[in-house]
Amino acid sequence: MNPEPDRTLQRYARQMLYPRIGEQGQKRLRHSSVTIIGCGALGSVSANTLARAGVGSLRIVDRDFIELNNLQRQVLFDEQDIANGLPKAEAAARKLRRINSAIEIEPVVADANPDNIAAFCRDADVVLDGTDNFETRYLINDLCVQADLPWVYGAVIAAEGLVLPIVPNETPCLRCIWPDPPAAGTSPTCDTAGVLSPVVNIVASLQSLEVIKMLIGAYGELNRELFSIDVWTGRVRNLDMQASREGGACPCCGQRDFVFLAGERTSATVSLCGRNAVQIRPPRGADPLNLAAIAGRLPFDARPKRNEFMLRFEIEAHEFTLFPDGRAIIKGTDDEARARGLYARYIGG
Amino acid sequence: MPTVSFTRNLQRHLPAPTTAATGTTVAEVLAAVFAEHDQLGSYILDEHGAVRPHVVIFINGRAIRDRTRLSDAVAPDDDVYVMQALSGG
Repeated sequence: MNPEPDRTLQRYARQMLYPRIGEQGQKRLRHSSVTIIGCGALGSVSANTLARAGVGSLRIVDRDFIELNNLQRQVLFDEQDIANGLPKAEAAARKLRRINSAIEIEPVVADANPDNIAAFCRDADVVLDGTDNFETRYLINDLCVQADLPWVYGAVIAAEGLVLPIVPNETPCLRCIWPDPPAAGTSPTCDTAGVLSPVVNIVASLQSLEVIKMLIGAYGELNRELFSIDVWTGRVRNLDMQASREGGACPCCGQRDFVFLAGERTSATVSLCGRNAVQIRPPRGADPLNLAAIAGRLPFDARPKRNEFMLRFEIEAHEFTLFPDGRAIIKGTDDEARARGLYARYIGG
Repeated sequence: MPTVSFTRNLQRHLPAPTTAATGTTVAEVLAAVFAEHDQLGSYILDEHGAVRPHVVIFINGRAIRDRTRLSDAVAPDDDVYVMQALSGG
């Protein structure tokens, strides 16, 4: 006699009908945990997919807040979120809890860096890359290889996208394929090339699928090739990367030199993709900020607005968004030195 | 002759048309392309002639083994594809 079906899983009935998942796979998803680093375009599509699929615990890490030009592709957010001044991680969590109240959602409003990324990925079964920059991706790669933690790379620019599941010490890691990120100004960004929503949805959906395979233990069924798509032309390639891992020359998984995790390659200032903005991150160990006190010190025409997550004000034709951990996003410039100067003058440090 | 093509994101920076090029190794084939499009060379290869670390080259969908001397063999009907890492998300 078959055991009584678990009625709490009925919302996933159509997914469980797929034989490679079934009720057993669905139960494994319920007891699984995923950390999503970055909740912009890729991260919000992936979080939506994984929450609806019934992954039991999602930790969503994002440093950013929502802007009108995000809504074209970042599916979890709406105009009301912008009016409420919500950070992306918090807005995503609120939306996802309405979609699936049976799972745990933990929003983390923070910039993933060498000091905190291990804590963000602790207890995760898989890490999903939803970031928009090379630095954080190489940091994720270092952490996951060191911790033997599977992760799924995904990236998009314009109409092109890439997906690669990475099983440390088994499949090529990010640095096996691209030993170092490109120098600043040598690679297209959202600023220069834009991004189409369809490629975001395809890449994030495939990232989510590879995560689901990992969570149910279907490692033998991962697509171990680098998936590449150009949605405008319809050209799809599956690229065999195995030669990249041969010889143990990879500085990360071969030589185990985790320079990004050690902070040796991590800048404190970074220009944000597509934003005409610069992020400033305070030094390691900096004390948290008193946003109310800072707001009180600002010039009268700075028009400060504050909630529990951030302080926003305008100065010298630049919009500052300041977070309690000392991080700031300064809009109106791509000049990192200019941004550092503004930070030093109005925030200190 | 082998065919050499480039990711469209590279074409955003530089003229990088799909080209039929002579040669029996990756180095020879790329040299033939760069003879027509010299700016491409410095973007894809470093000053020592090695593949830049953010670029990867494939022959018929398989990543090349020799990123330093580009000695991987190329057959007349092969498809050489050059792509770079993507950052957006």
